[in-house]
Amino acid sequence: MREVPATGWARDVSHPLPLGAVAVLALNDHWLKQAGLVPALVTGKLSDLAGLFVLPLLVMALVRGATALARRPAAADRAVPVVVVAIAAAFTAAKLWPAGNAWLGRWWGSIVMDPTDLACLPALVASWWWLRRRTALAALAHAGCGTRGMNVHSARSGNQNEIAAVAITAWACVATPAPRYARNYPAWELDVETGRMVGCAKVSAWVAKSGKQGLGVTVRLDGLTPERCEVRVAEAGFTLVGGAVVRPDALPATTLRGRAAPEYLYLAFAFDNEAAWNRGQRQGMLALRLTAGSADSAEWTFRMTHRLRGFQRNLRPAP
Amino acid sequence: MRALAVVVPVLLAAMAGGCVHWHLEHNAPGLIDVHKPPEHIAEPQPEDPEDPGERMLVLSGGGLVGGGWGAGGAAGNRSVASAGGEISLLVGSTPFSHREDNFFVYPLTALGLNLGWTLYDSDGTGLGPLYAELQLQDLPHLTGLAAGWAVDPDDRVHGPQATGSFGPVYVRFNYLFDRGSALTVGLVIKAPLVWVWSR
Repeated sequence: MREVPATGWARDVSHPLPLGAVAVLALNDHWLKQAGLVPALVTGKLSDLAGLFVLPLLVMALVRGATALARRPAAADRAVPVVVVAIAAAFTAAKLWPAGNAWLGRWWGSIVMDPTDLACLPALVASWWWLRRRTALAALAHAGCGTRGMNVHSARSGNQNEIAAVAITAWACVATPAPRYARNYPAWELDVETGRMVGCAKVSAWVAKSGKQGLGVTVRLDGLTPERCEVRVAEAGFTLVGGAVVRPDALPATTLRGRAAPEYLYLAFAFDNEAAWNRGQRQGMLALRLTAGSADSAEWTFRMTHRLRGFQRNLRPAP
Repeated sequence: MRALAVVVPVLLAAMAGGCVHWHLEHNAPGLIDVHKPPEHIAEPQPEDPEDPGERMLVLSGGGLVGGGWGAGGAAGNRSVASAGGEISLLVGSTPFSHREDNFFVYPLTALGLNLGWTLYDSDGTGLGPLYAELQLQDLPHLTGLAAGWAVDPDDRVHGPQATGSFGPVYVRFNYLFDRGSALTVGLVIKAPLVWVWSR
């Protein structure tokens, strides 16, 4: 197929070959990766190959646009090696260096740190070759082979096509999907409904924090009467089955101002939860006694279990 | 070319099948500041803990092929070629946990043992030397350093051996008493089996 020499600012992108790579990138990111039809080894590398080929072309289109506006179009060609090497360096840093990955991830979105992706770097060589080839063809066109006779209408429609090509390429490069999985952690769960009444307050509780250093429980208090009402945790304890009672850091108190807004209390139970997990002590009991105004609750006890619901959680579960 | 058509798919299949990992429950809870109330106290679910990172046990096996130069011993200056298999057992860690999206689950830094057998060695007679090395791997720099001892049971020679690697490329130096020294440069490809647990 004879290639038509192009001279526009987005000439490197607005061609079936790079646009085909953009289509591969978009299809792979937004369909193949989720479809599970192809192994992750293939989809992961396909995105990197297509992306590394297309990204320098996109950046060069923007550079050409900027240098054309500055009336120094020749300067753009000198930027090609800088752009390609900078992208190679950034890609390598993101794949090998935790701090580089975190820093680039802040701008680009989460990037998977997989050193085997460096095998896709040769796509940058193909990109470089493409940029040089298009530059040579453009030089031919300027020498009189392609643009003579181009009327105002075709120049305008050509510019619109270039803008569309750059916009689609930019979308495909930027709109990469976030990672699908994240590490999951075990958490203590209350096995029973915690809703209770005491005097002027309705009380409910849940586990707000669970980790190596212990667990934290949030107690929600809803006012049942229009009057102000003092609510206090009179006693609290967490007992691991076969272990000693862990007392909270403090026994907090608050004042409910009628039925308007709920109040929250936090109970911190500090203990070596990691050791308990490793020993297999995964059952416990939360005991609470509250006073609300002049009313005193009996001691409530709630059974608890320390559960790990899968080592990884799907951040984008199917609807 | 025909050999490549056979070798490349076999290697890819071995790697795809070999880059397997399993999770262990040990140390699974995350990091929290239990004394500090949750940021969104009205949220009726546990706050995400901080990532403590992971430890990994890696059992990998694969092959090495290389060539280079030898000096000393009865044969004097010569060219050498070798090919063999190697099994490694490494323990390492990463400061952040992997995601199941990752194809490659591997520790950033690791320390362990290599056991290998140079099945073809142009030096000596019969099969080449067996060796054991202590290895340190640093994934961010794609480097590995190993040092140990090689023993050739056929020729009853032995001596020190050191190997440096950069990605899939390795450089190995060994000095076997009564045979001389050899410097080999080549390619190493191994497929890892990884057991992952929390730090």
